[in-house]
Amino acid sequence: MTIIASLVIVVDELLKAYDYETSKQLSVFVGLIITNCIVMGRAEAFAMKNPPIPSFFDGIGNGLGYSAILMLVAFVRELFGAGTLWGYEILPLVTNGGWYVANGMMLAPPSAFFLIGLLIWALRSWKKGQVEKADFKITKNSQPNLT
Amino acid sequence: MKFLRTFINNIKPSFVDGGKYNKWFPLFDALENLFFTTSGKTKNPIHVRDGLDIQKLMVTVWLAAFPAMFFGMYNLGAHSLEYLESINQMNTGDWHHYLISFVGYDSSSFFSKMWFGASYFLPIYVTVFVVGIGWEALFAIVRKHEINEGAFVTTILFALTCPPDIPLWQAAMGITFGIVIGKEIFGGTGKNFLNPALTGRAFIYFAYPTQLSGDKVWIAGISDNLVMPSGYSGATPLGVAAEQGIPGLTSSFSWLDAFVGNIPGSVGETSVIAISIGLFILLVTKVASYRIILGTLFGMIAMSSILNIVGSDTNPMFYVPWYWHLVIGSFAFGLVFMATEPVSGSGTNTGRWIYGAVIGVTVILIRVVNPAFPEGMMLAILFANLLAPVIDHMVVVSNINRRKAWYKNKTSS
Repeated sequence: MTIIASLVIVVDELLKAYDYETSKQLSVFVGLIITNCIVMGRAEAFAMKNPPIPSFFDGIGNGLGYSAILMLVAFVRELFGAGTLWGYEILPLVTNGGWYVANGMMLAPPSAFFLIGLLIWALRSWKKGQVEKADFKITKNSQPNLT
Repeated sequence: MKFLRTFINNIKPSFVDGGKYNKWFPLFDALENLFFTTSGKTKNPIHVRDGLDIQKLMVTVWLAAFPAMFFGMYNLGAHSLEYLESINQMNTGDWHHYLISFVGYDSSSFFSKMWFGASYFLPIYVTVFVVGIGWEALFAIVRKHEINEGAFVTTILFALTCPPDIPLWQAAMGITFGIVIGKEIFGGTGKNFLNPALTGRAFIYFAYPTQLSGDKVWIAGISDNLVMPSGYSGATPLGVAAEQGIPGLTSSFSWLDAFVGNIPGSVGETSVIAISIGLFILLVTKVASYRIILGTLFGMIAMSSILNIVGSDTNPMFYVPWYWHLVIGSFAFGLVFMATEPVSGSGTNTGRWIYGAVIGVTVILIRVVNPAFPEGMMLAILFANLLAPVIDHMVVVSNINRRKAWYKNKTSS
C-alpha cells in the first residue's frame, strides 16, 4: 500500500510538472489508482483462493468497511480542519467571526495517517484478539538485593 | 528530611503490592524518587562507571536549558517593552496585562524586563508542564511503568521553542501530541523514535501556522495591538534573510546581536551564548555526544558553502554564509538540545557523525531551497530521527563485514 501510494504520488507530481493539461483532465483519478489498487488487490487475493459466493460477500464486506473508514476519517478531518460537516458550518471559525481556530494539520494528508493509527490503537484495545503475538518479550528489571 | 522520610515510609505499605492504592504506585514512586535517591546497591564487583541514571541525566539536561530560558525571558521582555513604548501603549491587549501591571511597563529597568518575560513565558511553561506530566502520569498508571523525568526535559524544551504570544491551549495541544503520539504510544521514554518535544512542536506548527510563524508572533503584544510603527519589523532574522537576503539581514541586525541573542524569536532559542553554556554542561557531563554536534556543524558548513558558490538569481537565501546560519533561527538550540537526544538519535559512534551530517545538510536545504518553510531545524532533526535506525543498521553491518574480511585475510595468509 505504501509502495503503491508513493509511486502513484510521484507519477502525479511528474504529470503536474511536465504535462499540466493532462494532469488537469485526469484530476483526482490518478490519486484514485491507489484506492483502486488497495480494494481490488485485497478482493483479488481472497477470490483467488475461495469459491465465488464467499468472495462475493468478502468483496461487499471489504468495500463497506473501507467506505466506513473513509467516511470516519473524512468526518473528523472536515470537522476539526474546517469546522464544517458536509459543507455546513458546525464550529464557527475565528476568520468568520466565530470562536473555533481551524486546525490546519487536519487538512494536510498526514493527519489521515494519525487518525488511522489512533483508530487501529482503539480497535486493538477494544478487541484484544487483533493484537499480534509479540516477537520477543522484555524481561522484568532485576531488583538489587536491598539487605 | 527526617519528617519526609518517615512520612514516605508510613504511606509506602498502601502503595506496594497488595496495598490499598497499588494502582497509584507510579505516583508514589515519583514522589519518593523526587526526594530520595535509591538505596539499592549491587553486591557484585563494580560494573557501572558512575551512578548516572535516567533521573540524573534528565535533570542535567533540564538544568542546562536554564541559561537559555532566563536569557529568553529577559530578551522577550526587552524587545516587547521597546515595541510597546514605540507605539505608546502601556497595555499588551490581553490577560497578560494584569500580571505585568504589578511591576509596570518600564522599558529601561532590568527587573521589569525580566518580569515581563516571565509573565509571558511562565504561563506557557506551567501549562506545558502540568499537561505533559499529566499525560505521563496517566500512561504510567495505566501501563504500569515509572513516571520518569524525561517529561521534565520534553516540557521545558517544548516551552522554550514556543513563540511568546502562543495561545496556551495550543501549547497544551502541542505537548499532548508530543508526549502521547511522539512517545507514550510507542512505549514511553527510551522507546520513542522521534524527539517528543519536536513532534509536538511540528504538530502545532502545521496545525496553526498563523500563531507560530510570520512576523507578528515573536514579540509579545504585536498580535493584540496590530500597530506597526514605520520602519519597525517584528520578523526574525531568518524571516528577514529569506525575503531580503544578506543586505537586508545586515542592515537590520548585527552578527554580534544575533550571537548574543538580542533578536526576536522563540523564547529560548535566540542566544547562542546562553545555549553554549548549556552545551558546555552537556559536554562535560557527557550527556550530549560531541560527534553529533560536530557532524551537524560540518554538514551545515559544507552545504551552505556549496550553496554560496552555486548561487541563485532569484533566491537571496543562497548567499547567506554559514556563520549567519549558525546564529539565526533555531539552529543552535536544536543542535544542542534536540539533535543530541540519545534515544531518538543514532547509537553508534560512526552513526552519530552521519546522523549529525544529515541534520546539517537537511537544515540548510530546507532553509535555502524550500520556499515553503523558512526554518528547517525542526524538520531536519525529525527527518534524521527517522533515518537513525537505518544509519545504525548500516554501520553495524559494515563493521561486521569489515571484521569478517579482516578475519578471512588473517586466517588465509
